[in-house]
Amino acid sequence: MLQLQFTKDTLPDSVSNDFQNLNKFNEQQFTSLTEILFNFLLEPKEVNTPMHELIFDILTDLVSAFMLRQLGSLKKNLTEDQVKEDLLTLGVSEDKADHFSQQWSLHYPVLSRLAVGQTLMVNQLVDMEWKFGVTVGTSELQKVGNTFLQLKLVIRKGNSTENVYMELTLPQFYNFLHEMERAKASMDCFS
Amino acid sequence: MSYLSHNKAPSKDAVRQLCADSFPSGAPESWRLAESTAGTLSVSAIEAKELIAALHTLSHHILFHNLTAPEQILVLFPKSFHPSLKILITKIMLEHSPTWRNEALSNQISLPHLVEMDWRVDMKTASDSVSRMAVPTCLVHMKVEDSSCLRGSGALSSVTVELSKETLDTMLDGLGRIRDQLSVVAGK
Repeated sequence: MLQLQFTKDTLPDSVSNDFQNLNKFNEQQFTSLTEILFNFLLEPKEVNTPMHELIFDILTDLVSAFMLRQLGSLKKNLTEDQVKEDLLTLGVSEDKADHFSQQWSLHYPVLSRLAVGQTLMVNQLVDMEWKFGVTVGTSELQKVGNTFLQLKLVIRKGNSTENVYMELTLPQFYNFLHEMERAKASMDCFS
Repeated sequence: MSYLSHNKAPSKDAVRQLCADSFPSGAPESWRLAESTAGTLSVSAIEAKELIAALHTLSHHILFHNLTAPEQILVLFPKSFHPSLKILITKIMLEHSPTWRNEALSNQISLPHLVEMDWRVDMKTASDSVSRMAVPTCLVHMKVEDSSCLRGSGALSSVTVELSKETLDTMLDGLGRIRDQLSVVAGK
């Protein structure tokens, strides 16, 4: 049983085989591989690079092994050395492990920020639109001069968004602004 | 506008009460009001209903055009109208105008009104994908009253929203711009 830093679970054999297969790449190939993988993690998009079919199949396995790797490492906030140690345990050669762990610590801040950004948010506020105006007249009163503020909040509920509309009078608006400024001051204390 | 000159009006209070009762939008159609008025004034129900309708039209006309001077209201009465009754009704209408105006303003159609709002700042310490973090987040809870129901008994619906620090900053930017524009408009 391999003792690894990034996960307490036992890895399937295929994963450690895949990692050992990494040794088959020469330096240049490995460097571009790590580059592609980190780019993929930083910007999850369709991977669209010219690849030989055979290599592509191997890489698919490796990519999924790596993904497991990355997420596992983020979980335990591992340092560069620990990452390197794990790779060596998995049978990756020294210089490749070195290169990879260096890339890791380089990209770590961005990767962790991304992971935090994907943390669960309940009813996340996506957008806020507003308009304010003056009521000129109504069916009851020919001449009025009241200011009103209308807000439209776009909230993400699961996969869809919901719009919430509301109207505020001026005193309510100033109160709302004041409360939000207090909330921001409170948040600023923590960062 | 035609009026019944009701020389049989029992007291000033009865007139005052009648003016107040005839103001609400449902008053001209209410048979119950017509019947109780008929009883108070000793007239037929039909006559009472016409009287209520006339007073209703008068009060709403005064409100709509925002008539504040007695002279503006006195000219509305027909020439043959009882003079002291005319003055009494005018006085009562002017007395009630501010209340009626506020009532009309608060009952006007609008989007759901914000009734209450509170917030709280939480600190996220862990999640299933990150085992340790210290990320502040803000939760805002708003209660809005659906104005399609009667004011006061409106259905309150409530919405809770979560904002990250960036979202809150952006929101405050927007709110600040609103405040600046409001002060420009107010300054004019």
